[in-house]
Amino acid sequence: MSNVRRRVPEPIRLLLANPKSRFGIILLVVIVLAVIAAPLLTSHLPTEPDSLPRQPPSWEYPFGTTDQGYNVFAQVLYGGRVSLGVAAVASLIAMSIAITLGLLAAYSGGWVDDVIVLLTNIFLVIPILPLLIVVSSFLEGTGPTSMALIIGLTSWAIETRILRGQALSLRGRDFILAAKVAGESTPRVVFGELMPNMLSRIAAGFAFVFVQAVFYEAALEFLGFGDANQVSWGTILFWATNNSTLLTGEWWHFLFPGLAISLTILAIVFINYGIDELSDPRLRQPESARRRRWLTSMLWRPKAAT
Amino acid sequence: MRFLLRRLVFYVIALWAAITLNFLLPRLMPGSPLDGLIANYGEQIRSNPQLLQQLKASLGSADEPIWQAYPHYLGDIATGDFGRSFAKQAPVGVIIGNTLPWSIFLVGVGFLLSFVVGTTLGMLAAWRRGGITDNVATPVLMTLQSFPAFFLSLVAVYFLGLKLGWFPIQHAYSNDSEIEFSASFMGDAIRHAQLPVLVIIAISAGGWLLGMRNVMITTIGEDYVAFAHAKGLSDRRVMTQYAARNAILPPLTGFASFFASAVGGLILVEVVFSYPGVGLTLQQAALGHDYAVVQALLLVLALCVLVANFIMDCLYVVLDPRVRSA
Amino acid sequence: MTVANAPVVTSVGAGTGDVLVEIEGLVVEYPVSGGSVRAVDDVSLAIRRGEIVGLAGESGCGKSTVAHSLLRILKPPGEITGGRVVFDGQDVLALAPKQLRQFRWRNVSIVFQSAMNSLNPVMKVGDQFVDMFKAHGHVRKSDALRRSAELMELVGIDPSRLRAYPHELSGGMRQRVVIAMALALNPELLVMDEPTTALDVVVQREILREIEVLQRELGFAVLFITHDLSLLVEFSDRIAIMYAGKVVELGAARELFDGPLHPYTVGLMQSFPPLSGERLRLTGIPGSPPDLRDPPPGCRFHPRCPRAERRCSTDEPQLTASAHGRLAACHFPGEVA
Repeated sequence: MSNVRRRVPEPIRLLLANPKSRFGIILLVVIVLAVIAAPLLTSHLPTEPDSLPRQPPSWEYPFGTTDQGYNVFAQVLYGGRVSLGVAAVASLIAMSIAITLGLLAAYSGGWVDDVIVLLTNIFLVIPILPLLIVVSSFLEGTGPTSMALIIGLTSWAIETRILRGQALSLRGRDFILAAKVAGESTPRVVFGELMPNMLSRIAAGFAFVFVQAVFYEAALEFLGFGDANQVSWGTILFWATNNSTLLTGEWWHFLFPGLAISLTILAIVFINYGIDELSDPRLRQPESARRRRWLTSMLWRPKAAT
Repeated sequence: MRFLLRRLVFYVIALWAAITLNFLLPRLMPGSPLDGLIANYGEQIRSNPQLLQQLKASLGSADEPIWQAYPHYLGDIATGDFGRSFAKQAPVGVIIGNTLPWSIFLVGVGFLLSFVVGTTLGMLAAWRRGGITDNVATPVLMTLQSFPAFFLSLVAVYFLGLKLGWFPIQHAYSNDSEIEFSASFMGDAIRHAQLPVLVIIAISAGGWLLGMRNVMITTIGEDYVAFAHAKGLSDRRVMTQYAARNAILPPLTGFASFFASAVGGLILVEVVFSYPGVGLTLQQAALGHDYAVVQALLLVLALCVLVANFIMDCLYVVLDPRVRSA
Repeated sequence: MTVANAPVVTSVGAGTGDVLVEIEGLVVEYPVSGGSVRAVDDVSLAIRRGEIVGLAGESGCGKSTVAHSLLRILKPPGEITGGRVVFDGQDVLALAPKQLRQFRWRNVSIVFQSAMNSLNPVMKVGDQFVDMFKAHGHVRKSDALRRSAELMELVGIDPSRLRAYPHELSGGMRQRVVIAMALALNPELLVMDEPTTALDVVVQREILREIEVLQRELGFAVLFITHDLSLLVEFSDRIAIMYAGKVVELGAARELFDGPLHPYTVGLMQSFPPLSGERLRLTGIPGSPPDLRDPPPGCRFHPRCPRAERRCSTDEPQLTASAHGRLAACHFPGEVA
């Protein structure tokens, strides 16, 4: 068990060393920090129409203003809190389900496994966005909490299958057998022995589900199924299209929230790209030895100072 | 063959599950969708009492207990009776018949092209590591994949359609065209499909590229590829018949989950382009609480996914001889 | 008689045929973090027509790399960075891509270790034969198939199996198919890279017998690579022993077996129990092969050698002819520790 503990900081170090995942991590950190520090970065509030309407981006209005006089920069920053928050909660829900079902299926085997696999395969085949639309139309209105809930309850299938596969390959290993023989109960073996060894896959899975959640949340709001009075990235885009800002040429209304969504997704995609290359050395790009040495020296210097 | 049979059984079960889910959903929701509907469309309901019956049948009410309503519902589905749409005052079946072909056209062309483009580029990118394809196409398409379908559509509409005027930006055909099987109409339809198809390729080719590239890289290291080279076969033949023919199999198995999410992308593209397919219809119906349409479309979309998967399974059997004797 | 810098006649002890392949000073490098590794470091070897040469050594000693270099099928990032390979007068390393493709299989062919994986899983066996024939000339498919059927019979497989897919054949059958393919164009040299390692002992014997028969019939030379020295003794005319990227001993098979000169060869012999005769005590070779990123100075074997003296850690011994008429890279060849 001490091996697992020692392994945790190492992957993060490796991720920072790989240029692709390093780019992703930095980008993600910048976005998250900007969103958290919203009040520090702008004096405007997203819900106060206190600016001149229809202004293109300028020094005073970095992202411009909407046709109603809202400050787009403020909207993107504060809206990010809602978007990222909903996505985080939704991924938490989805991953909890995926971990529980995936590990349970792999460990129990037999009919439990068969049922879970069937359920997972069915959910994999049902298109998610239409399902979300249908559910949203039955509910009277979907605020952030309900949105997080329905997204979480529908996007667990992909990770369940992946985690089940990984758990299956670990299950036959000696340390699991040893735990069983020592008399540990099933939940303890599953959550105490199996899960800690899958942490890196779970982290990668969380990242993947998070990206999905950001997308689905924005998509639902864009289509008009969110709470139109909430400010989040998707609703900004909804208003942008509804008020025909396209036709009037006010590109800043849709470009900036769209970029916010895209860059968040991009950041995580790049992190995953780096993870892929790390786990399979054949995928790595041939690098010049000199550049590599320079990069690792940049990385190690702070450590040497301490 | 037994493989296909097993898959077919699964699809039947999945279809049943989708139908049942469709049946249960409105009954599981907090509040009563029926009341909301009566409030919105009171007049139409009063003038057509049969509608109320149908609505009760599909949405559930205190009149009919579940174990009676369910077989009733299944019976309706089996006979193709999906109810009537409020907004369009037409049988849902007709609406589906008008809109589904356009969606299939878009999906068919769009995703087929993105598959071809993506896998070909992936094959080339892996074959010449560090070459132009790998260094340019891979990052570009991977980046494009991060842009949500609706955002990319908006960008495309704005910059390529409105600003540059290169493409028509909405609908499937010009307003003054007649729907007919003529060359001019086909041409018009194709022109209107260009931008949406381009967007679809931009968002999905990246996934195919990466999948193909990564498997190709592993396949290139296989013994039979080295053996083929040693035999003196041409580079191109080894790349296509020996490496790519094998490398394409794993990405194909991921098609199931791909297609389900592809449908989501389709909806978004249709909405932005006001393309008259099932995606746009679903959105409009859902916003307007036109439940009969909504439920039917969910079913239709699920069915399409299953059919597409089955086609892929058949393709897989053709491509991989090892599956045939399993 | 030690002539330090004169070219070594690496065909010493060979039969009377003339030289078919001459490998001189071959160097193959792989880039690694912080430099490069020489998987093959200055290897010279000659093979005569119709001769069976065995190449033995531990995993990682570079024997497969030498073989792959002959056909120039090294997997990147490996690169041939030095030396010459002359095949029947042709400079193999200088061949243009199109000539190289013709050279392969016509002159030299290769059979890999796990031949089961040498066949494309999604193509019929017959089609893979046809592919090969078409790559080397304009042949009609029917002619190609006819020739393929003959080849299948040559290795004892029913020609109807040409219509089968590789996964429908057993491991031994696939191995034979690969051998049939390898002999299809009547090459002058057949390279066998650990061809029997993945098979069970009985099948191993059968395959080797068949190769022997075919070799007598068709007269091709064989470069047989393995880590199993005992196989080589019965099978080959000459044996070369490799260690850490270098050839350390070279000579006629029987003589080498009866009286190994290099301490590594001695150690290898002692690692294999004979199936018959008196029970010998098995002694392995202590230590492990060196990390090629930083090979030991002087003789690469000296850290594990029972005969080592101070000179061995400073002076790298060259492959020189000893009094016994064989070549060994050792300062004290033939001496018992």
